[in-house]
Amino acid sequence: MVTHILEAFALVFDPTVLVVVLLSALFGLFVGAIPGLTATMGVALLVPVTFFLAPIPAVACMVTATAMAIFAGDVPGALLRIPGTPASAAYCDEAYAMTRKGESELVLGAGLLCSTLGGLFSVLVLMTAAPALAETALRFSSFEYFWLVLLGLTSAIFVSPGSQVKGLVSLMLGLLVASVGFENPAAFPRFTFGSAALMSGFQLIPVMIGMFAVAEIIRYAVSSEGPLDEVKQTIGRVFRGQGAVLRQYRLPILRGSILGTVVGALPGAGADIAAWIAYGVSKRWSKTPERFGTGHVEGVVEASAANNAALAGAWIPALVFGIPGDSITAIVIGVLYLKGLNPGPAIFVEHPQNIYAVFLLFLLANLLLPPLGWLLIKLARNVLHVPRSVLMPVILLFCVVGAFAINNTVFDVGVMLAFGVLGFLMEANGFPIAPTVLGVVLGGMLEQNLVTSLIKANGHPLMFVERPIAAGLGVATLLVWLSPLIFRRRR
Amino acid sequence: MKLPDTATGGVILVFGLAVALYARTFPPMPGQNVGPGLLPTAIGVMLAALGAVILASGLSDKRTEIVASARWTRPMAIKVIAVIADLVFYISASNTLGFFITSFVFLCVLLAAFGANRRALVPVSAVATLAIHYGFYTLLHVPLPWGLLERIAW
Repeated sequence: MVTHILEAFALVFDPTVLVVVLLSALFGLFVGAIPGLTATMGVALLVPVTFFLAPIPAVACMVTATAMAIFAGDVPGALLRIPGTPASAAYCDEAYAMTRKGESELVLGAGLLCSTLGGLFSVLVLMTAAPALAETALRFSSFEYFWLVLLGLTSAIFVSPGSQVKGLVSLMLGLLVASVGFENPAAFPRFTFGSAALMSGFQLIPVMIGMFAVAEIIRYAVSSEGPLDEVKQTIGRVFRGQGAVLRQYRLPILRGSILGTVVGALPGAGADIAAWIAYGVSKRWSKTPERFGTGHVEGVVEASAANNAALAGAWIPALVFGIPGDSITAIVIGVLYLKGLNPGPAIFVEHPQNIYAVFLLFLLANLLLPPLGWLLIKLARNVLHVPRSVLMPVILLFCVVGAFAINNTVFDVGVMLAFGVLGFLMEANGFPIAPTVLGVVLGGMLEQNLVTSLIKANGHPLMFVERPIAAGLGVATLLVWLSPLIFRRRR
Repeated sequence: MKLPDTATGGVILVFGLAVALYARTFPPMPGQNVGPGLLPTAIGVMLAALGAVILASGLSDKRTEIVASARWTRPMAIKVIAVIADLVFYISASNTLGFFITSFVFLCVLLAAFGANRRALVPVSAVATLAIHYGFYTLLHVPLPWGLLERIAW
């Protein structure tokens, strides 16, 4: 084990990797700070670049950029009342209210430090939970995997906000997209309509760039951009008085970190949902709930810890089972497959140094957050004034070239456009995107394990619940499905 | 672009039925009861059922959704059409015109549609095209097409 850890250090503290970490940190800060560019979009934009990097720098790129982007989203939230990423939306009004009271240093500094603490907490959970889970997962057969995937897809529907019927439609669309092509147990070309380009199905990356980046650009096009509500004040010493804040709110910070890690690990729910729940929980248990909404730091502290904690939490199911915990890890899984780092319990046994390297990268990214975040706060004025009317067209061209680069064909650019329009229409009509993405990523795994299990069972459905873990997962899935009925009856 | 639930529900219902019926035509695996049609059929049936639920809730909801869709203004429509038309232009023209010409036009059109500063149009388009070409073609070795400029290719 010690040799594997030393190998991991050598992998991470390589000059190339460190340069990649620094550049992607700056990229992440920029993407997070510009409203309309989300952390997920940032990762989608990084994919074509990771395509040409070695596995560890590729992972480094995505880990660092997201850790930075989620905090960076707080900055325009506090200064302009526009959340930089959806993960900052929950406490944006609160942070802005503090800025109006002249406390922008306090809220941004507290957000920065709590993001770091939340991030470090969830990395520690990832480091302990993932190897332990992987050991159990090594004994899984197709029955356990079938239930696990079904449980993951189920929780994605029930965790996502809004109508569950619409969430299910989104999921079905994702599964349908995944079933296109001949990569199925019978190797029969499905839904290809004679097109050679569709034989191997839709490529994951153009689909993702479409749904997360192009859809976002169309959304920007239809948004009416008003004048910015900027509070003019100079930002003083960011870290002054933060010790007292951290001491006073140590319990909410811990609670937010735990909550964020758990929500992150649930498939389909990521940093944005974690922040909403944490802010609500904070208000519910606060000694002074009446101060929430008037510029009170307590909720910001807890939700900041939660949204950053969700990031590493989402990697737990992603690394151990290949089931993404949020939209970001859905993209990451696609990249890991491209890099030959197929997620699953086997990688923990066969290439543990790579797993330790991922842990180290997470630690490194979170330790870099305070100094780089401080820099962003100081330079915020310049970053926030980059005109989006110039930025968005350049990003769209970047998307085009990125989608093209995966297979060097414009067919994929067409796929990107189609899914961009689809993603925009879905979101505008209340159909969540996350279940679709999960369906696209997990469709093949669901079908393969279902068909294998059905063949093994050979007409005896009880085989699906004969093994204890399979039975437990099956019961858990059914309970989630029945939960709305149970709760409704109680009310 | 908010559509009424009756419309989305109806579309999903019909689409689901079409998927399910088409998936029935997939051949089974030899010697097995299950085959490539199993999951797509299930997806189609689920979609049709969910579409029916959304359709029903749309029919019972008396509020009209026309108010929401009326918020689409002319400048918004122009911007969205510009994004889609620009992408279609890139897909159809990049191989013949080449990356430089297509991207330059692509950016000029979109920058103008998004209301960027007029004096910035040409310099921004030129610099961004060159930068993206350098990054992807020179550094990452993506074979971006040269098209009409084949003779100056490097």
